[in-house]
Amino acid sequence: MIEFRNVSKVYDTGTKAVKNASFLIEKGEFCFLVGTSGSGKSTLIKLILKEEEATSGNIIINGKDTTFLKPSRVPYLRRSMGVVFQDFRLLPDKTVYDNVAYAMYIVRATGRHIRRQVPMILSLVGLSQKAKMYPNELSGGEQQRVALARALVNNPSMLIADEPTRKSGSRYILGYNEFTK
Amino acid sequence: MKYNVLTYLIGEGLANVFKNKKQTITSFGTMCLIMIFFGICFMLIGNFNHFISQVESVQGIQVYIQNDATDEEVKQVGEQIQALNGVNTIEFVSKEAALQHMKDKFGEKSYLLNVYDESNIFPASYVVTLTDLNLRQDVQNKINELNNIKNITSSDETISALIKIARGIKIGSYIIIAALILVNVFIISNTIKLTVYARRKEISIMKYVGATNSFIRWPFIVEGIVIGLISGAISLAIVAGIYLLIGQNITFVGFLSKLGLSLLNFGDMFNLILIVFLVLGVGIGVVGSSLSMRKYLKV
Repeated sequence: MIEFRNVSKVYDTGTKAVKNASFLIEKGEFCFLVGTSGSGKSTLIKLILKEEEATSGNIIINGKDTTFLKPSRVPYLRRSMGVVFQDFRLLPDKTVYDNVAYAMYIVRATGRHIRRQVPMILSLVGLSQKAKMYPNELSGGEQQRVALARALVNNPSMLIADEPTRKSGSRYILGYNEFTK
Repeated sequence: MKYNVLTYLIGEGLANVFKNKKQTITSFGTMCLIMIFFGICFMLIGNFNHFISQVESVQGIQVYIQNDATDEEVKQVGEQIQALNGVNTIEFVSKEAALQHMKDKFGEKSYLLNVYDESNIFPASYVVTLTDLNLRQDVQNKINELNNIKNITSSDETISALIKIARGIKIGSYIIIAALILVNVFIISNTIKLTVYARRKEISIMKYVGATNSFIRWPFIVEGIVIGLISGAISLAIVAGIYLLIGQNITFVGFLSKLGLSLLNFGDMFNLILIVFLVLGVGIGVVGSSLSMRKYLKV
């Protein structure tokens, strides 16, 4: 569950990215945020992730107000959601397998669980054959699927995707929509 | 921490050492150079202190006893001197030994002293060595206050000069070490900063996917420790090599032995240098990587 109550974000440069936003996304709901570039879509995601602090208003995630969340608790908030970033944010020195496994090491998953879960999720996004490759050896769409695999591997309670179909082919977009259901 | 996570973090740290070759070589080079320099400074200071203690053990005060003092009184003077603060050893030189010593000095003309065989005018004395040359004046004053003391002689000029040199070198070495530490901190922190800067994107990605600061930090710390330990071992081997080469230089060792001095065994300094290198290497690795990362962990 994600709730925004009168949230505004003004950057240090004076740019007003989000103005008095209020909405509620319930558990199980699909929500699409559409807007022209520069309209504040990515800022909204950054606010949810606590990558940026809201200038005013309250953001409630899974029933908890994150406005005054201690910095040491932020990693745990981020673990509760799977995020596919616009620029994918894959670790360049790690293979596809290790990029996905990294998210599981963070949550202290057991070795056996990692060895079982990662191949399964890679096969789900159609990247089993490319597990040993590095991000720079993949196409944009493939990189995005690695990011999706990483976002899903810990069974998060919510999935957030910034421009999820931007680099994917039409065949994949259809699959993506089915998959996220 | 779970065994699985621990092995993962250590494995990551070790892998980073080999993965980031350029940065690893830069860090190795810098740390080795600095530790070798440190090692040389330690050897110089250690040996100088050794020289001073060698001189201290040889340079004594000669305390002459009144000729009319009885054996009992002479013995008593000896006990009183030994009890003084700053006295290391005392050695009794009897009247007979003093005469013999003088005859030895006269060599072929020692027969000139035969007249004193009957009535020995040479006083008995105590040769007193000190634990610390700085206490010489104190000890001399206290001995002067004792009964049955005829006079005291000491090689004042030599001792004063030695004390001055010792003080100068000690102060100088402290200044050099302080300056070295400052330079070290500056160079090492910059090297680590560059390393961390090159990997700032990686660090921020780890944060975005929910890694805690300690989870991100540990592989860097392990990397720092590994680089520190290996640099320490290499530096120790180089320093030991240099020292052994100097120790085998016959001209230099011969020059020292003429002065009545000898070099410290490397084994005597080994423990200290090993500890210093371990603390320096690991400490710089741990503190440096932790401090340099702080900025990039705030995402």
